[in-house]
Amino acid sequence: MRRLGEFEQMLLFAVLRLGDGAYGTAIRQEIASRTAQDLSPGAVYTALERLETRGYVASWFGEPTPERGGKRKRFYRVEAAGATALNRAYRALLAMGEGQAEHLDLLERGIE
Amino acid sequence: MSSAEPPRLTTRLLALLLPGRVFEAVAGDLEEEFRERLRHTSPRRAGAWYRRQAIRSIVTCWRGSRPAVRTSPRDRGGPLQDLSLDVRFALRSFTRNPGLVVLVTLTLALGIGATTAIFTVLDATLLRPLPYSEPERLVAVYEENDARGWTWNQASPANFLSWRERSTTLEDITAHGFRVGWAFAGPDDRAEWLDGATVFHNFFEVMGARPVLGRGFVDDEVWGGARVVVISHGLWQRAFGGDPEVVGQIIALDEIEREIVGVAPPGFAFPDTGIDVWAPFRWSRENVEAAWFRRAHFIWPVGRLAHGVDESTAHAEIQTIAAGLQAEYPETNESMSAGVVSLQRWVVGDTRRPLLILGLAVSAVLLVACANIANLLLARATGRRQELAVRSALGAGRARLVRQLLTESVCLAALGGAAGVGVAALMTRGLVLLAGEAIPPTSPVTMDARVMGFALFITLATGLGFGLFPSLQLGWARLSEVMNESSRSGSADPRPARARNLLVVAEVALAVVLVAGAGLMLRSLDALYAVDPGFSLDNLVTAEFELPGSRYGDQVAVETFFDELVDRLVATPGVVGVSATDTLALEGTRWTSDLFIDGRPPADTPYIFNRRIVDHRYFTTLGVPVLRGRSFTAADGPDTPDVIIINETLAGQVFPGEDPVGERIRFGDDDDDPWLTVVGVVGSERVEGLDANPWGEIYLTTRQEPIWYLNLLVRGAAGGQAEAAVQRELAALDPLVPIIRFRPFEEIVSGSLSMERLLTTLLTAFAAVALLLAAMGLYGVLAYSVAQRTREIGIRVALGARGDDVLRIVVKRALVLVVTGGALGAAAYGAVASTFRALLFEVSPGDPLTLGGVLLVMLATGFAAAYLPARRATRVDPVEALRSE
Repeated sequence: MRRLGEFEQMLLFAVLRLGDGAYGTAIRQEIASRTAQDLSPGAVYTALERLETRGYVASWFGEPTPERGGKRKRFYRVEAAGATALNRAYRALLAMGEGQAEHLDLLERGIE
Repeated sequence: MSSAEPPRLTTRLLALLLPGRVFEAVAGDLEEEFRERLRHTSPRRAGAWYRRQAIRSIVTCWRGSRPAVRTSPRDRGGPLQDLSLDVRFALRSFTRNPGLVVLVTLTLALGIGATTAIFTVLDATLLRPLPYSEPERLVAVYEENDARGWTWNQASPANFLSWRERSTTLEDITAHGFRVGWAFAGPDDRAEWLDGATVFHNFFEVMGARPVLGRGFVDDEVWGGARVVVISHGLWQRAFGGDPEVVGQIIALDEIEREIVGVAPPGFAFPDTGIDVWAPFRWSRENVEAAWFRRAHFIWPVGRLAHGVDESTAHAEIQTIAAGLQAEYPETNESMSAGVVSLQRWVVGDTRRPLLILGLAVSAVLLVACANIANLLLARATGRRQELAVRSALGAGRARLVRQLLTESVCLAALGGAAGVGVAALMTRGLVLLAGEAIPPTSPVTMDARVMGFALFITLATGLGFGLFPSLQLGWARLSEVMNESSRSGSADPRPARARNLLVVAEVALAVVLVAGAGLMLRSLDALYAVDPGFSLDNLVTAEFELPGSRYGDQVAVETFFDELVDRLVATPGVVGVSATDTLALEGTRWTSDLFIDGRPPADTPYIFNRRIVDHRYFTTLGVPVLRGRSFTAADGPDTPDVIIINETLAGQVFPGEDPVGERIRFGDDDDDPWLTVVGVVGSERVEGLDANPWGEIYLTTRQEPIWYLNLLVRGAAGGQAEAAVQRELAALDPLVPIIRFRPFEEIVSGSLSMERLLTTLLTAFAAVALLLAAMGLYGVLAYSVAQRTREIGIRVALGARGDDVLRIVVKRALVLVVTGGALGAAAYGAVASTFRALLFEVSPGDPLTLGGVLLVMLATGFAAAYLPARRATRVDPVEALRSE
């Protein structure tokens, strides 16, 4: 099982946070508001597509709406396998980073 | 460009480049956020954001499709990855060979540009459905009479009413009359001339054009009811400022008040562009049974096919109905048939054939361009055999190499296509200007998505087409052997050279057909310009206007007005003569009528002639010679005997070998039909255009047959001066009479030749391009063969061959190619020559002068192309040539 990249973890968390409302624009806005990263819709869907083929997320189409020019929203939810992978990656990172935040900040500023 | 919709082109691009599932989600998200952005930013910025995000999405999506782990070189990357590699490789190879790339791009830009421009015109006229509701169900219904040589003729109102009553295959039939016009006192109180049409009451229903305000016409209004009009959307906006209360307002047209009952939908124009007012016919119920109502053919019926009925069924039915009418009304309907043709065909009419010829000609140019490029690429591929062999040895499959070569040629084509679209935009604009009246005004000629699709299609097709030849070479060559070839022997394989010869022969053949066609059109146009119209065109201008019957009620009023106007104009410095007629020469119409001659038995068949009313100054002013008898004079009048003048042509038909002066003629055989005395015979003017032989004409005088619609003819003053003088004097006499049109007669002549000019100009240009390309192709092949045979030539020179002998080798080769191509071209020309016949004036498709000219042009081209290679061959130094091993 391949490890999840940072981007993939962010996506999975965004889907998790949004619950029933997890579709492209909402996911991008969630990531933008929390991390100040502006992603293109193409990037989001390509990555989600990849996660879906691995069974980490599932997707379904909603109803077409006029403000989307009659196109449907594509919603995502995190599957059990996805939860496992994310949990593992996130916890591994947490375990490794525990207590290192201040150290990192100082290093970044070139103090040590 | 700013709008509340996301950029359409970008969305299409997305749809094209993203997988379907991804596309829907991405485009939906983008559109949603685009609309969100519209609320607090400008449409332009929102559009820019949309475009930027779309491009980013495409890029990430493509890059992301690459699997993270590459296993083996064979399945490395997907097809897209390979494609992008191929494209990059192709572009890199182009930078090594900029000359070739520029040459190919220019050639293609010309070929694709010209083809796209012609397609734009063809699309707007022949291919695109007419801009009416369910246009495929609209048909023109016409009358036909073999005995009188009528095809696609106007119908008589009574026959039209009978068809309408009896037809079941046509849901309904309506009709319109000739284009008419009215003087309209606009908002600024200056009289304006409005173009209009009179129509049957069901016109808007049948055309499927529901008025946006008010209504169309009702039955009663055709039969002498209230005077009403429907105005165009354009006039509503222009003259009434889009006033929603316009329905019910009264407007004065020709100083007669009419009620506006409706406003036509925007863009609706029929039977012509620029129609501003529609009014119902004004017929009387008593007329319906009158013989003349069935005999006079002056309306154009348009029908709507019933659902599920096709054109041929309706045609058969109308023919049956017409046959029935023949039996019922033998007196008026003898040998009178009728038919149905799709309205599209009808509108395009005579222009169909020339437009199709242009389409064929431009396709030939494109083919020549492709052959030329294939030739260039083939030469290049021959030089690349080693490279390809090496790549094959390193594991590239044959399919992979073919794909590489095709990618290169498609990339080249894409460059050419992109430039070609620019060329097409310019050429289309030029074409529309050049065409003038030659292009029927059905739809606007614009480059829209369809045209762009076409350009894309021919770009791909040409790319694959000329890419095929270098690829084929891979099939011929055993690549492993190529690697063992020494460079000096070049390619021992004769097939690429043969392919190149074949291409050049094809180019020459196509060029021959184009040059011959252009030559014929030039000769024909020349003959047309040489035609004597029967009158003098020098400094002759015409001004049309109409006197309102309400204020000029009788002949005396018209005559007084007109004499005053003439006096004033003649007093203007530079004006030599002034005259008036109801119909201009070259714009006449045919009358078919019986002529009864006093003291002789009636003739079996009716005569076909043009009937015109002219004033007594006409023949002097126009320079038409009076051959016998006298001209009209100011003394002819309502109280003197009715007089006519006939032309030479009619005199020859009706009074062969006799002097017609003094004979009496009348149009009907009733006792109350007046006798008209022939007082003179004049020279024949061309009535229906320069290409139609003069017909018989009967002239009546305005003194006895007053006219209210005048074509004023002014000779002498330079164009602008005459116009100003007419404007000034007319305004001084009656400011409420607007001038409808003001035209130099030269313009009328060139207008009547606009299709011929268009065809000739374009064919000549196409022929020149094809010739140039063929010469380039020929040069390429000859130069290459000289280079290939340097050693052989060196040996010959060493063995004593002189410059002439060497020259002969090259020239002979050029001649063989030109003659073979020429023979093929002549055969192809023979096959299409008959298509030209209908377009030619006094020149036959086998015109020896033209064909001789073509032969000379082709030989000259051959020699020109052979010159440089031949000179190079004679300068081969045998020592150098032999050493170059």
